[in-house]
Amino acid sequence: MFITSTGIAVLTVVTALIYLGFLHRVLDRMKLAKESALIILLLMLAGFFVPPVRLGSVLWISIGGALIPLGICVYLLVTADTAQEKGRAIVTALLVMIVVYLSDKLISIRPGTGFNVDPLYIPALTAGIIAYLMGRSRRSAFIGGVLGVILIDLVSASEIFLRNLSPSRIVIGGGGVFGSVVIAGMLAVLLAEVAGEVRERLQGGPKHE
Amino acid sequence: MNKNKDLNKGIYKGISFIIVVVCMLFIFLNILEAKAHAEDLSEIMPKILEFDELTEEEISKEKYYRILDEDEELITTMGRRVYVDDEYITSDNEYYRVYKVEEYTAYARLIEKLELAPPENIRERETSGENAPLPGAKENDIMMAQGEDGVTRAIAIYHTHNAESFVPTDGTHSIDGQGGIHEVGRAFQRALEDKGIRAIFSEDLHTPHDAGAYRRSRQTVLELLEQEPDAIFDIHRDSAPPGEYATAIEGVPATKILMVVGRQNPNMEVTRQFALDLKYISDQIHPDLIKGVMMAQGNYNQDLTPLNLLLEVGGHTNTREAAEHGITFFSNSVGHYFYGTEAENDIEEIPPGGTAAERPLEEGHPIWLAIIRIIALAAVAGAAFFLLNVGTYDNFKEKYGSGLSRYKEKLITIWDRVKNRIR
Repeated sequence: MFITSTGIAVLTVVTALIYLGFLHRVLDRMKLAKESALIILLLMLAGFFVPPVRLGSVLWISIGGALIPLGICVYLLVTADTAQEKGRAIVTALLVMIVVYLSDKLISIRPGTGFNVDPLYIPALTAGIIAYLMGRSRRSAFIGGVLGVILIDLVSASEIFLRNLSPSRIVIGGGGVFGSVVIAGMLAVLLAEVAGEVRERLQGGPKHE
Repeated sequence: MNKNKDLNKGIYKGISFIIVVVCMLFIFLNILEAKAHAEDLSEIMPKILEFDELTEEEISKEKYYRILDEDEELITTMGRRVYVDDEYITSDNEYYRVYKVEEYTAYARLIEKLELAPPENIRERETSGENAPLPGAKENDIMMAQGEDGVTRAIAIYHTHNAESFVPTDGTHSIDGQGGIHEVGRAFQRALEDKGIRAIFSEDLHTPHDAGAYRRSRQTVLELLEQEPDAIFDIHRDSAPPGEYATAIEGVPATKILMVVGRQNPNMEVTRQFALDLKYISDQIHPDLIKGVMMAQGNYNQDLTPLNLLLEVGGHTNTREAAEHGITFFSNSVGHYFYGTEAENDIEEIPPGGTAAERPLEEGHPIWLAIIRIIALAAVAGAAFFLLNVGTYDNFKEKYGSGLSRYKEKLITIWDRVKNRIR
């Protein structure tokens, strides 16, 4: 097997396409028309060709992986109907940051130890659960996931300074459209959606508004 | 009415918050329990405030987990918690699945003894009766197989946990910044380059040294992928008593290597097959080198490509030099698996010719199975969402009934026309 062999290339492309398909669906539930969602998705993909932008000695930011999702968050916050909704979203993000920070520190870093979930998925799980419980809000889930991971990256960067650690390169949104920020937002929304749909079905069918 | 609504809302919110707090407590306590038994909060809190990684105490307490088989014989010891349903393949290719975990002891059932088959392309060469091809012929095969200017001949190396070090040599198990593990990476790089293989070694740090390092190393993996290596290795070291990994190969003290495959990603089967293929080749060249393959709970950024393998080269109680020797021997396996480098050594036991280099794995069924599985899963998920949205059958008829009946009419018309033609 080679990374570039036919089979592996097809597998990678198919996985990526399916992922992007789900991401598109998530985006168009974010108060964006299907076409806008597609354009934003393509922009995020295009972000792969743009290297991360340096913000400081340790901090970098990825355009596709953080700046664009952050822009969507700002758009969602600004267009939120009530102050309560905005508050919920921010609180979700803060809670995600706290929970992820604790789990990062307390989970053993040995493969196979600690809580059963890979650190990549913990922000999404947390954001999905908290956003759903606080108000069944898909948008809170998205903001919670995206903003939560961005915040934790900022916390990590400041931790490097506070503890005088060897400076690494913290790329906010590292991984671009396949990175931790986007995954957090996307999976959180999907989780909240599934929870919401299942709950509605259990209650006897969707309420037609 | 409004009062009732507000009351309900309040109760709902109150319950929601209680549930959130309970969930967080549950997660917190679960992690604490995994850390060390009977640790009380007063010990943990200062550590959080001092920003220390909790692995210090696990290391100092030498809390190791053991896996036993059904006869209570020891399969392996490891510095990691083992969970029910974890799978472990020993160096003898015995495939175990854990069915019970009590404190620090896990009990596993033997599922089967795997017969590792040579990678597809070797089998082909053997049946066609060819032996080690001439270097020139190999080049041609490679070029034809790849359909481009030639094999990349590059292997990428990185360390998610840069701080990992080896106590006997480095004096500590963890050095902020570039730990002893970087020397192991460098040894791997040197060994590969001595064989004419380009080694792309990223020494990027992923501090702070905690579980979030895997989120941070995602960017590193993507950047390495851009350079189109033939495989990527994330080099770590384990926490284990020295005897677990110490070995000698060709009389040289070395450490065994444990391959770790993450199960929380769609590429798991393919990565596992890659690990087993690589193990097969390695077992031919250096029989005692691969400690086993662990299917662990995690992603380890292996979702980005199925040829991203995590290696544990020795434990923290082995010497770094032994680990460097171990990885150097491993480079022979990597070199031969991809590029047939050991064929030039004229050793009888080594399978003929290049291996993966000969043909990209077109008929590799784990890959195509994985592709089919992902598409099927996506289809099921899509269908589930659709059904959830649509609601009951009545709703379904309501929404789509008219559309479908029109479609049905069209089909009937077409069928009639076809029948008329046939007559």
